[in-house]
Amino acid sequence: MARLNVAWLKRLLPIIGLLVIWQAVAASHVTSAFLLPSVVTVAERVWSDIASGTLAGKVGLTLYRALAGFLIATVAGVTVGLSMSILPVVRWFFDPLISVGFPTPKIALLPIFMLWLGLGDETKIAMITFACFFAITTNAYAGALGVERAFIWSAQMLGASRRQILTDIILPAATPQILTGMQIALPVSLISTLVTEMIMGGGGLGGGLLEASRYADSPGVFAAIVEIAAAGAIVINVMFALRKRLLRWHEETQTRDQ
Amino acid sequence: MKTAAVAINRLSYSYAASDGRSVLALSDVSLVVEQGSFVSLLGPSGCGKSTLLYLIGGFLKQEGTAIHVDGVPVTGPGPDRGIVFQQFALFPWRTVLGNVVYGMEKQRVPRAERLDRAHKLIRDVGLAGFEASYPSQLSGGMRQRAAIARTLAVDPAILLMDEPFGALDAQTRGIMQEQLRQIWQATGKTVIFVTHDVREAVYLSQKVVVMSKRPGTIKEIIDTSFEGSEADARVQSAVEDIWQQVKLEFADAPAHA
Repeated sequence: MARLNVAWLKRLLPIIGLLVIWQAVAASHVTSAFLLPSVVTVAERVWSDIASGTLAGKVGLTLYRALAGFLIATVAGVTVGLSMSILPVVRWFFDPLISVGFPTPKIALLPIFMLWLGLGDETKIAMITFACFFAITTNAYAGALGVERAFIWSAQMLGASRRQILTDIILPAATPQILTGMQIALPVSLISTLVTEMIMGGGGLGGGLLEASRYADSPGVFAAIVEIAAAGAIVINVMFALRKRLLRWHEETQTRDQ
Repeated sequence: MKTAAVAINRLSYSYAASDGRSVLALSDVSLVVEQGSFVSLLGPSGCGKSTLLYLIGGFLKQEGTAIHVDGVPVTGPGPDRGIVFQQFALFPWRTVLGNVVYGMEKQRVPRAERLDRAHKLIRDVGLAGFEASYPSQLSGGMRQRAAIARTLAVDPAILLMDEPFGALDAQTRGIMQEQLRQIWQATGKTVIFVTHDVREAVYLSQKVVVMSKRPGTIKEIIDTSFEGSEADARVQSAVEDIWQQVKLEFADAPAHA
């Protein structure tokens, strides 16, 4: 346990260093408190947001939107990606769409989504889903294509049906790469949420940031950034832990344990 | 005359190479494998011996009815022909026990019975105590034991073995060969064993099928079921004999093959 704490401290050291520099610059009168509020001021604001419950509300709303879009994209992306690997017609349909859609900045479609779906959560979640879909689909597809022939043959020999080969063999064998796709999509979901909230309003961390900047509330802007960064870091680490848990059979987990 | 487990009649097989050309891998192969016998397919790499095994297994598709198993043309894989691969092909996301029960799950064997049989098989191959281990936690030899147990769990009449001991160190290989011999003698299964190790082929099998380089044809079928006092000496001379044949094939083979 003590060793774990030391390891954590070591990980946090660069962040602590950054905060120290920030505080030093803010205190040095090189800048004004408006351009760069001190760490203490911002920390006080974060604390008051926590104490008043407004932070929980904002984080809850943002995470709800981000994770809803992310999870819909995961289900859709894994389904499409795996189907592409076994059904030529699905591959024929999606292959060119993905080639065009993957490099396109998805946020460019936000005006159209707003036009079609209105200004509510549906639009945000649709935007987030769309933004996450490509990374998860392409990784699921690549993972399914990379499944060793011998796994599939072994399952056939042992009596598995086509459907069982998909669920019992291709899905778990592609899981490392599906998780990689999810790990790429997760920050994308947070970014998309923030951007849609900042453009469309409707509360959440992005809405709060937008509001603070409109009122020229400099500590509020910095507090919002810190809150967003912290929420993001927590979500990413949960995802990392999930990967370790799901891949406890995998070599990568075993070597990391040693 | 014993009954044929596998009968191959004038089988040719070609596949499309990556540049689109058709490559003839096997040409006019005819072979009868008797029920309960142990036959090795031996030849230089690229001679199509593994391809022949995959065709018998039904994993590779071929036109026509050149291959019969138990009198029925092969149309696809089935639990009557269990395969064991050089690289084990254990499902890495399942434990040893999970791998061994998988086939019985698909065959709808009742839960209690499949656990019973799985535990017995795992004991038989010497993996008791490793039921809950993942393949990545096992050594090569242990992985191959688990893979053999997984295949035996569906009780195939025919065992197709694709260089199963090729990835193991010499000592482990020797132990595994001995164990396979015992399994074969105890179960009376038909074994078709692909190898490029002449000594292994002669030691294990009753018949060694020597194949030529691509396109693979059967060059010679040599009886190697030696018993009695002079067995050792005859094994030795058979090994040397077959070595000469294989060496000729290697010498003929183009340098890039």
